[in-house]
Amino acid sequence: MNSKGMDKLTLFLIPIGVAVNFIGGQIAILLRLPLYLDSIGTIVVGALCGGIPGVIVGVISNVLNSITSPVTLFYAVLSIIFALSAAFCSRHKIFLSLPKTVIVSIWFAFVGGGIGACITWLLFSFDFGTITASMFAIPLYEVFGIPKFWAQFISEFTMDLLDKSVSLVLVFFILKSMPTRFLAKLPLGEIYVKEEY
Amino acid sequence: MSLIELENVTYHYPFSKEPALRQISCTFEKGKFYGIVGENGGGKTSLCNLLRGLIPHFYRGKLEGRVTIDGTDVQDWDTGRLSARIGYVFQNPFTQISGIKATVFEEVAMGLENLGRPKKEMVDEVLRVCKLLDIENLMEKSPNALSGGQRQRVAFASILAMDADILVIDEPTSQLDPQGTQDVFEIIHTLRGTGKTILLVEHKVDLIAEYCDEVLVMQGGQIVRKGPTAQVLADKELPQLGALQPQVAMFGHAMADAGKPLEEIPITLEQALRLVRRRRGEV
Amino acid sequence: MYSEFVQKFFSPQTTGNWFKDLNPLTKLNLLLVLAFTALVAQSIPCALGLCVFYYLLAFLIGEFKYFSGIFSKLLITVGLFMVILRQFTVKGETVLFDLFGWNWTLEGLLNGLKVGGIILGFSGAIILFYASTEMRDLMYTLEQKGVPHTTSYIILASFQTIVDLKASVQTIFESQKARGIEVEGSLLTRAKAFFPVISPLMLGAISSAEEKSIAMDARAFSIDTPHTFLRELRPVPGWEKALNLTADLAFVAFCVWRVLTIFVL
Repeated sequence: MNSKGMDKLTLFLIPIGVAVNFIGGQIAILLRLPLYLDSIGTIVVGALCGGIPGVIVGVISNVLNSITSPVTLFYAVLSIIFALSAAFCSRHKIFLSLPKTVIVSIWFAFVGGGIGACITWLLFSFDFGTITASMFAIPLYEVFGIPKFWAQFISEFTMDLLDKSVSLVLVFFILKSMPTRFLAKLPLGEIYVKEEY
Repeated sequence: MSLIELENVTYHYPFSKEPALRQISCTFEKGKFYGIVGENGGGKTSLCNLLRGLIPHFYRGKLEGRVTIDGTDVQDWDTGRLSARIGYVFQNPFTQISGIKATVFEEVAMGLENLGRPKKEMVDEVLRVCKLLDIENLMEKSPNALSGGQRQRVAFASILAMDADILVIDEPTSQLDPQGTQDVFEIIHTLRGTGKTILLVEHKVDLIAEYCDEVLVMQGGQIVRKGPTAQVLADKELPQLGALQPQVAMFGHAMADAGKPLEEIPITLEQALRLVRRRRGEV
Repeated sequence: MYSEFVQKFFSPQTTGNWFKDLNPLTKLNLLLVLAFTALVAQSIPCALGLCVFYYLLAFLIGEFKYFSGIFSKLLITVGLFMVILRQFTVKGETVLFDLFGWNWTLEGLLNGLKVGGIILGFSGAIILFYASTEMRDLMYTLEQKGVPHTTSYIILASFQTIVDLKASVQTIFESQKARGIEVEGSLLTRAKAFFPVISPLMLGAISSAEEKSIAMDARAFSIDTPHTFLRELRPVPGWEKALNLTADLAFVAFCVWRVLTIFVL
């Protein structure tokens, strides 16, 4: 990671990506939305600048979150997958179409919820962990008799599906509203350039 | 050989059909103070970006013609090296603060750290510019807690500390309140006579009239006038070229039109007063 | 001839506290050893011991208020929560007491304490690291180790950008509300309000990134010359290196012992 290897504008977009991850959650609280919306910066930077810058945004966000909640460090792996997936989707022009964007949100939810559930599972000694997911997982386990792992998996995945579909729709509109003069300077920006001005 | 030479320069921003600069040829001499005026979108900032090496390195796009700084083509300049030669201060006082330093003192020293200067030299230089720009009282403060005008002064100090011999200053007062503007004017006053080559883009034409050796007028991406300040600013066609004219020059023209011409068209208030007094036979 | 403020740059930055003045990487190493000891040990006494130790250390370095502010919250949301949660998920035989017809079991309690303890034992060390270390000092040390200065910039600027953007969120939120964007009402209505808030924010931020990149370039940000540092930390003394090595070796030995006991049993 040096100024030669990385696009100059990309370098300065990374702190902004990190901040957007943080304020996404802040806006969600202001609007009383039951969502995290804490990966928008990672996905946007991944989509516009490529996988590695997105990964850096994601990992730094996790490190900064760990100041108040150290366990977040273990979930950095999710941010890494989000960023790489975002760059992949961007290169394959998926974020140019709203229906396609909504469909890939299933994959993002699978990563965030599914793989996230696996990390929780390991971290909390093969049992339920986080507060919100447990609210759904306990009834699934107690009332419906679903095995604990799957109860955790299903509840985290469902919650994440809502979160990631909203996040990705937002990403779609953010990318769509980018002015050409910014896009022209970003590594993957040309994908989103509409026409000459 | 001139310090900066432009030869038939035409430039298009990426994805743009209209060139931002067209067929520009001019030279800038070492140690002179240049003012650049003209309408918005006339190419002033693009010219600054070109001289700073940001075009084409940062903005990409299509550059035709030849730009040389100190005899070396701008395309061949290493951008890092070029930044040490050419200082740059622009409009927004907020984005010019790094946001990573705890005190103004450290903020001003940052460029010198990047240049790898030894500590003693660094400290002395920072103290020198802080004194020069009268921001010694801000040195221990956090740069993130300053007003716009104060930040702009810190931005100037940070650039001056690096002691580049060319300074490009792009509308430094456009986002400042009157006090901040006054502060920046004082800084520019200080800069005059330091032997640096200065290019100042500024709408406040009175400032240009007072300090600049030469003035360039830009319109539609072209340089439509270039010459000694008194000559260019007194030009009757200046308003048609999209540039503001000093009010005293307009007064001078009005006097001439009324058949009571002054000896010459004044561009500063002081000069106008002197000419009027002389006309009335007071001097 | 220099003022006290300026004079301070000529000697290494110190706080006068023995622990805080350790090299940031030493602190990181020692505290990570403790954090991972909690994970590897998987034992209630070890976790409890570590938690008490963290509080004590926080007190000794004068950061008790900061530390306990964050850690005590975790004690409830992780520790207490885990103890209650495990009464649901761990089906035990040994009933300890009856809470309005809800039988609390020993197995559940022990499991809850163990898992909660591991997480707290890990978390406390990390919180203590941030409590005792300034980020710029950590980045300084990393730059000394050859990490590019752009990394320092990115991390340190992230903090300031969060502060700046948080302030603008409030402004944009209020102004969009004033312009008639619905921020109350159904879930969908509120979700729709998200875009008009975040969009101007992002565009503004990206445009400032562009300017910042130009401004930092003017400060020789992208020049290749080796940097010098106005603020410096003291060089790492030999005993500190020895301390690091000892802690690391002890941790490795502990891991080996744990693996052996698991396989022997």
